[in-house]
Amino acid sequence: MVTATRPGVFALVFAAFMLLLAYSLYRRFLPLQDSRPADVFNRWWDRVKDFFTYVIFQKRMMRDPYAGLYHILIFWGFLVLGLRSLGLVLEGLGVSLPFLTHPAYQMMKDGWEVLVLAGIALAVLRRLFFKPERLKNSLDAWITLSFIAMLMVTDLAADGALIVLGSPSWAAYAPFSAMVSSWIPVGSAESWFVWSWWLHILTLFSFANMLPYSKHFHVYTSFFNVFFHRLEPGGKMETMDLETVEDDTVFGVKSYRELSWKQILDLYTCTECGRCRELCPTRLTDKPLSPMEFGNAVRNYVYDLTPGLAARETAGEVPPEPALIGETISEDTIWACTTCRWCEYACPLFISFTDKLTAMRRNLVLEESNFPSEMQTAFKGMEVNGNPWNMPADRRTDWCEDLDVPLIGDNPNPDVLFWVGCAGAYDDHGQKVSRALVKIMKAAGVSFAILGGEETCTGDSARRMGNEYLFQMLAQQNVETLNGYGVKKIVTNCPHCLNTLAHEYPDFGGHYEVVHASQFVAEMVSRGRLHFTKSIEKELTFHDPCYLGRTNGILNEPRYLLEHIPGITLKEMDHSRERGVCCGAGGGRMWMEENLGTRINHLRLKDVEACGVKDLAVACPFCYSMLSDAAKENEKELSTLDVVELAAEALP
Amino acid sequence: MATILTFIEVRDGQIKKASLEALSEAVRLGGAHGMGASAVLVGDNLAALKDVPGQYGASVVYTVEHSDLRLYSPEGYTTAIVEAVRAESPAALFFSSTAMGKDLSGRVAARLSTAVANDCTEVSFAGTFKVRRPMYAGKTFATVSFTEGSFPVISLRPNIFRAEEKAGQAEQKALSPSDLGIRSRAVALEKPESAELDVTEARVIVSGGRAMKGPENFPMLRELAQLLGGALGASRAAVDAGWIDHKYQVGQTGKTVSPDLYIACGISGAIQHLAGMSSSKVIVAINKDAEAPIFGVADYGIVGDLYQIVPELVKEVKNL
Repeated sequence: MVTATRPGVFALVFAAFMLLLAYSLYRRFLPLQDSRPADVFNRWWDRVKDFFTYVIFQKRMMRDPYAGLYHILIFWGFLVLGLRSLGLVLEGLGVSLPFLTHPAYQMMKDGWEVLVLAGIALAVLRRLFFKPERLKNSLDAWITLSFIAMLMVTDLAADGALIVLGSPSWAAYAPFSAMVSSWIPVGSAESWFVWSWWLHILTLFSFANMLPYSKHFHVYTSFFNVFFHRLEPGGKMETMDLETVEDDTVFGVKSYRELSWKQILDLYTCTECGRCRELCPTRLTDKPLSPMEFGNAVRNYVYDLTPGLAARETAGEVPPEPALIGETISEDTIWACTTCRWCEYACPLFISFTDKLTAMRRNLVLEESNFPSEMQTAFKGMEVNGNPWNMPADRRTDWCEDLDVPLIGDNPNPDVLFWVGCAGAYDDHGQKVSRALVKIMKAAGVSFAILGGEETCTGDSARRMGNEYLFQMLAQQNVETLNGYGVKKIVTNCPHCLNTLAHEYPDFGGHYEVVHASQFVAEMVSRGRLHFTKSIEKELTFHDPCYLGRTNGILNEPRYLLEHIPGITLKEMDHSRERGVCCGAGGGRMWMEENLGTRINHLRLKDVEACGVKDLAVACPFCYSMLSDAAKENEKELSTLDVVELAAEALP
Repeated sequence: MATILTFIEVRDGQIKKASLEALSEAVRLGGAHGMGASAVLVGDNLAALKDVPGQYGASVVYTVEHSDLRLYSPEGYTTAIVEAVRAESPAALFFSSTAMGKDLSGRVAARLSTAVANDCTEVSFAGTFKVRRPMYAGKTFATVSFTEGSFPVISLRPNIFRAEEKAGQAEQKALSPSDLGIRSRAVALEKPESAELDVTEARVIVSGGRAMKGPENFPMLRELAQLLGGALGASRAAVDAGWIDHKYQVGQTGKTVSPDLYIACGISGAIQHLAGMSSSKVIVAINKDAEAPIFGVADYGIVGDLYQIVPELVKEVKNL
């Protein structure tokens, strides 16, 4: 058997490599030591399932079939060839694993090496000739692709040389190595083998050592990052413990110490593919926030801390720590986010962003009392009058004064509680939608009730603006009211109320079945309790509210309704369903001025216009407000209507 | 005869109207219960103002003049007022509940080791002083009695009490404390350049919205505002369009106002705007669209073209 090296020489090289890698990984591990624990050691079966779905079968990568194809070729190639690398290392140390020279494995390996090369070629072609806008070319990327190609080529060359040297038993099963062997001159086959073998090993060691310093660190971290991803509903924010507060308690996040190890792992895992950038409303409107750049900035901040942390370990001089908020991440960046969660939907590796941004907001609000001044009106309104507009609390039922709408006290066991929401109660258009829903429920013979003056803002905006105190106050109050009446099922037209009631109130003891008005009405139609008889001749498009579609998966019901109304033709926008672009109002942005960059609602209006329709259907009061304003501001003839309004209009 | 001493606030060489309201209340309350009224003025060059408290019923006026008191000094003014309290031994001390009044009431009370009640809307006397003060943005009222023997320091909410002129002349007493106890000194007062009335301070606001169509139409509203002694406002739509500066914006993300009169011109009345002005005492809406939500909150609505109505209004106001 031909060998490329003596075990002693290789052992030294291998030891050097392992030490270097151990050192690199230790540096990456240092910041995790100070981080908070993460509550992820649970639901193991779900985690295994997700691991197969998203790691092994790369479901999210497949949304972009071209990238998905070459990525899965390279990834599966890595799995197959990882064994080969192990075999080579053992071989260098003088140990051989028989199954690795088994013809079956050799055949698989031979084929996958070529498939990986094909994958690399597809990746290179894309980067050169049809690079998506979201993607940035970087030296890092080119080096990585070269390293992988080098690994494949050198291995094929080494096995090719082996075939020349002695026709091993597997030669007939390795057609590509055999092809390479035909190019190798017989006389120099041994030096070909030695050179290729060493080049392969050194490339492998260099690559493995480079990864912790590269964006391709994800080769190591993504397995863990996906396996330990948050399984709770995407729209649920972490509930802060406001009861046990020590002198050194930090509210929210102001340094790496308040991040959990999982959150830091998120940052390590980013491979800068830019999918999160693609439809990010703040990036597309030239605001300082772009999720990838944000994540990378926090990651580099953590990396820059490493020497200091290492110095602390060795009792050396600790350099001053850079500030996370202000120095690393500007306040404007923190306040820009609409929490539309496009980035979190887009990321194939389940990296989350809104958790970090909102945690920084919490720090700014709860510790520094530092927030855009115009938010004060909303905070005050929610606190004093239970609505962000600070409208008098006693006028919450003005919208239904002339309708016969029962309060829950008068109809104590309704089929469903209608959660009106602040917009539904106070906003001129919101009131029309509330009245429309009442008309529908009466037509369907549903027994319903409202809380009336006992209803107050759910606190969705307060929470997303960082005011956890205010949110918890409102949540506790509402849960007390709802539980007091024994409410089980809730219907609401506000996707923000829906998200908070369904996902965030359980932490406060409120467990309800919460449905959106569009779901509720769609169910009435499908069960034959409602019939649309009037024709509404409109060609329209539907804008998916982020908190309804992407975050809560309610995509089909509004469309079902629109398709069942006679006369309506639904035309989809380019960006629809999970790919719907935010209107700009989420995450409390509704209550802030939009002073930076261009307008998010104007951006979304362009999608509507590109559709060539004169009517737009929405299913969220904030979306209504943003998009109808955008049309007025651009002097476009567009009539915006809520799906529920259209449904009510189509009733006999 | 014991008196109720009122601090008369001077800003920019003028006596604040709210101080005269407090003084008049002292005169009324004192007169009903056998007490007189006295006043204290603090500042520099007060010669022109000294006689004013007398014209509102004060029988004694203390003046504390010093060049260091030209601009407001919390420490100096506190010392000056305490000096007047010592000289007069009044039955109570009144302030108007302005920013300065609220600052001083607490300081003076602390210096005199007594209690303070701020922002009162009613004061009564029955052996001891009793006040009523709104709490939680007016949702509820607290009634506060001063215990016997404690010296009452009370600040009165502006625009609640009536200022009443009385023919009279007060005895003038000048005080000059040996040490004003000033540790920090205001060197100069720099004001923003605008001579225009700030929208939050105005009692009348004329506001324009999207229907203003452009910056060239705002002078018409500004003229009407000036004729009514008020300020100009705008909706977010007009500000966003770049027709007028953000400092004029009324609404959710702009200023919150509650003037006596709010004239909304070409403003549809989206809730984001109502959030900033719906507590105005009288709302007048001018809008072409009779369905506009602004008419839901307006006391008087004019359905019509603001380009015809506003000039008419300007003409009529000029004729008054």
